[in-house]
Amino acid sequence: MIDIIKEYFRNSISTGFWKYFSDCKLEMLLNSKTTITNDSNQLMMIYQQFTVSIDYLYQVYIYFERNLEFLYQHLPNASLEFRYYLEKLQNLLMNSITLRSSTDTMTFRKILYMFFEKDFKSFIKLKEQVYKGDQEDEEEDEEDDLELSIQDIDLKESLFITLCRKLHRLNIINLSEDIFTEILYKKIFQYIEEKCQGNYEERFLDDTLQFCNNVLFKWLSMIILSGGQPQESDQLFKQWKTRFEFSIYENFAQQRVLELFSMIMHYPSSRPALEDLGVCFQKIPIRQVLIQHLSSVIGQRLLQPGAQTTDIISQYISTIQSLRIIDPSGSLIQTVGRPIKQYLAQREDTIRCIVSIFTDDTNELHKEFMNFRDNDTAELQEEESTILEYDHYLDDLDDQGNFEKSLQWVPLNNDNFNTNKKSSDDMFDNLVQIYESLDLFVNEYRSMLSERLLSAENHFDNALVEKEITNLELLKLRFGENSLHQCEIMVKDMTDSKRLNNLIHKEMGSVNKGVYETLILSELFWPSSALKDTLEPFKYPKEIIAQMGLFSKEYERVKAPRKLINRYDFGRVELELVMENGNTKEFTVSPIQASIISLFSSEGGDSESQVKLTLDQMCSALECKNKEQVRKKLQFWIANQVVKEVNGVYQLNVKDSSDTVSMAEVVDGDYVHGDSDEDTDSEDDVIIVEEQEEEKSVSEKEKEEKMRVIENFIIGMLTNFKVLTLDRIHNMLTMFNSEQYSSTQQELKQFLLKLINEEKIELNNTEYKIKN
Amino acid sequence: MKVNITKWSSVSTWHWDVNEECCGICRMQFDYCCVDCKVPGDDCPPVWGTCNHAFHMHCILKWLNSNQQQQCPMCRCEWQFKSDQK
Repeated sequence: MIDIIKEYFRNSISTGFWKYFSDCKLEMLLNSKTTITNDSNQLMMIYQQFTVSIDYLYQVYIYFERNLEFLYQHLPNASLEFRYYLEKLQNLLMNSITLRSSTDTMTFRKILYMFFEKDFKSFIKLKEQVYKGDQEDEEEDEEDDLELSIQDIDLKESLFITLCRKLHRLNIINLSEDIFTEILYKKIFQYIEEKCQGNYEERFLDDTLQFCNNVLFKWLSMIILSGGQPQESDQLFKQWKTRFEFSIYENFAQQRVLELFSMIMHYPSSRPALEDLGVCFQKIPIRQVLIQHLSSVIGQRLLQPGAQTTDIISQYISTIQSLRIIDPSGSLIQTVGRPIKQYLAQREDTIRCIVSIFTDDTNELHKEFMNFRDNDTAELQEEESTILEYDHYLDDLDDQGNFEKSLQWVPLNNDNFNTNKKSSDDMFDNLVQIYESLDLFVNEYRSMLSERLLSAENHFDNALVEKEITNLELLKLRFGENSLHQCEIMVKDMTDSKRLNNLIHKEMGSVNKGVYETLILSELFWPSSALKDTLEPFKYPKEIIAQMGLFSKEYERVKAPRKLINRYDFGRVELELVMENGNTKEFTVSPIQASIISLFSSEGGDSESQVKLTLDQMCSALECKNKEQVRKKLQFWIANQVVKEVNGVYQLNVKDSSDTVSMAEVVDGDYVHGDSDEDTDSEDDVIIVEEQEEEKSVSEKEKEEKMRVIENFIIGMLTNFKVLTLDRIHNMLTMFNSEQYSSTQQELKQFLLKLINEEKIELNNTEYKIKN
Repeated sequence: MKVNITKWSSVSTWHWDVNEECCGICRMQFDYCCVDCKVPGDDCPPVWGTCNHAFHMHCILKWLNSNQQQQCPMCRCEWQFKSDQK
């Protein structure tokens, strides 16, 4: 009998079913997806035909079901069999439609897909309108238009529900689960992508979930709840819902993880987005994905030679802050931050940048740094109390309330169990942790402090000193008093100097006050590199010597038995040059430059006689033996076109002081310039070289100094052994000189290269020997 | 041309006018302070005995307080503060 029914289905029902679609261009559906959306008329037709055809199928099915029911009513205990045949019937019906040929299967699926999608789209459209209307006026949504649309929806919904019920009976819903799942997912992903991508300044997770609740799940509930027993379908619906919610979180998190790097860049404005991600982080296991992705992006985009160290540092800081929002336990930071830390530790200027970040009051971090004092103690106390609380839990676990609390305890993740949580709490610690010891920081800070103090425009500026004192106080809280003691003395030197200068000037009387003032430093407390003399002593201008003499005498009287030693390398002089024609030029120069130009100053009012000096004459006038030094410093005045050189004789360059310049003079001047151009260039180079050397961090300089000590050993070794390989030099140095020698082989190689460049040694294949 | 110097700020360093570099007791440089002090300068001056040996004031006082004989730790002659040291 089944065969007969089968035959009947296959022949008549199937053709009957497909007849409904004979007018529609079904091929269009098969061809491509894009055409679906384009031809709305066709779609409408298919949609209607589908509804009608389902009606047709439904009637056929009901007819057979009734007959079956009738048949089995007369048989006892056959309800199981009845169900079985019912299912058989459903399958037969479906097969008859879809199994006629493979294209039919495809077409049927397409039609179903189209049907659900279309209904879903119109549903969403209406929903969104209502949703919008709801939001605009929640109280009064009884306006005519709105009511109309609501009625409209109700009508549509009830139509859809009846259709779905029929589909349920025909078991088509079960078959098309994957279809409407796909539609819903598509919508969710699209929604997330449209709404959230690139926008980090609002929270979207709740929004998205709400949207799904209001729209997607309503639609889903219409499909699922329309058929079968209410309890069963309720259960089913709940399963669906949790499944979807999970994938919303998952998708949302994926989307956000992809954008995490730019979110970090936009921190703190991206805070809401980060908080969203934090919620996801708690719900679903995205930890590994997040770490992998973020690490690779950081590697690609941040840790590049082209990136500036300050940028890397600030990005590192935002990374820490952002990840702390996502994962308060701090384990993420440890894992993601490690490569950044390691990279930063390799860079030479990192310490310098970090120290300047904390001492620069225009920097945002500086503010945080300043706040440290207030909240840190509170934080510490809080932490202690939590620790105590946990101890408490252990003591009386049987107390129900506490037990529940203790259940909230989260174990630290595996990757960081040997690092303590506290360490990631403070920005400063995070940065300092890049290096192993605090000494590096203290030294760098000390040298930067000395630079700032010595190069300050006004040594006795109160604001400057006060700023440094606040910085110092803050640093003391971090590093402890002892390590910063020397810096304290340095700052104290500044204030003491000011007091002493005032005192001595007062003693000397206002008449003799003069223009001379001096910082009085405690040499041993300043970094040795900062107070290193490079210039040979020279003579200051007469008037200054006189004032200096008076000052020193007074100092020695006040502070006996102490004496002052003038440091010729340092200091600054403000002076103005008064030209013959009354023009004045102002300069701020170093003492030696000032001393040199003073030599050209014409005494008295004799404007005719030009001062002409040779280098030798200048040197003797300055009582300076180092000619090269004078010549170099003279270049400053030549570059500024104050002094010119003619055949080895230096004189004032009056060219620019006269308003009308004759051709001959220009040519002459140019010629003269051409003569000294090379010198100027080389001087520029020298300046650049000097600046570069100054930029080197203290640790670098120290390393170099250490290596210079080693140089003697290397030369000695090479004289004894004639030739040595890099390996052997390294080994011998480590063996016999472990106190002074702590470099790696690579560093040694670099240093040897330097020696080769200085033509002290030479390299033959792999063997080094003394250069003859 | 005339050069008008409006301000000449120089940098100098102060040093105790002592022949020896280190204090014979604490072996610290005189320009540092003694082991108990933190601030160099006024608070921790060197003093001379009549034997012309110099020590941190704090160091020699500690020495004299802990010893019955008031001797210079360097030359064992009787310790007396040299007044009027320049």
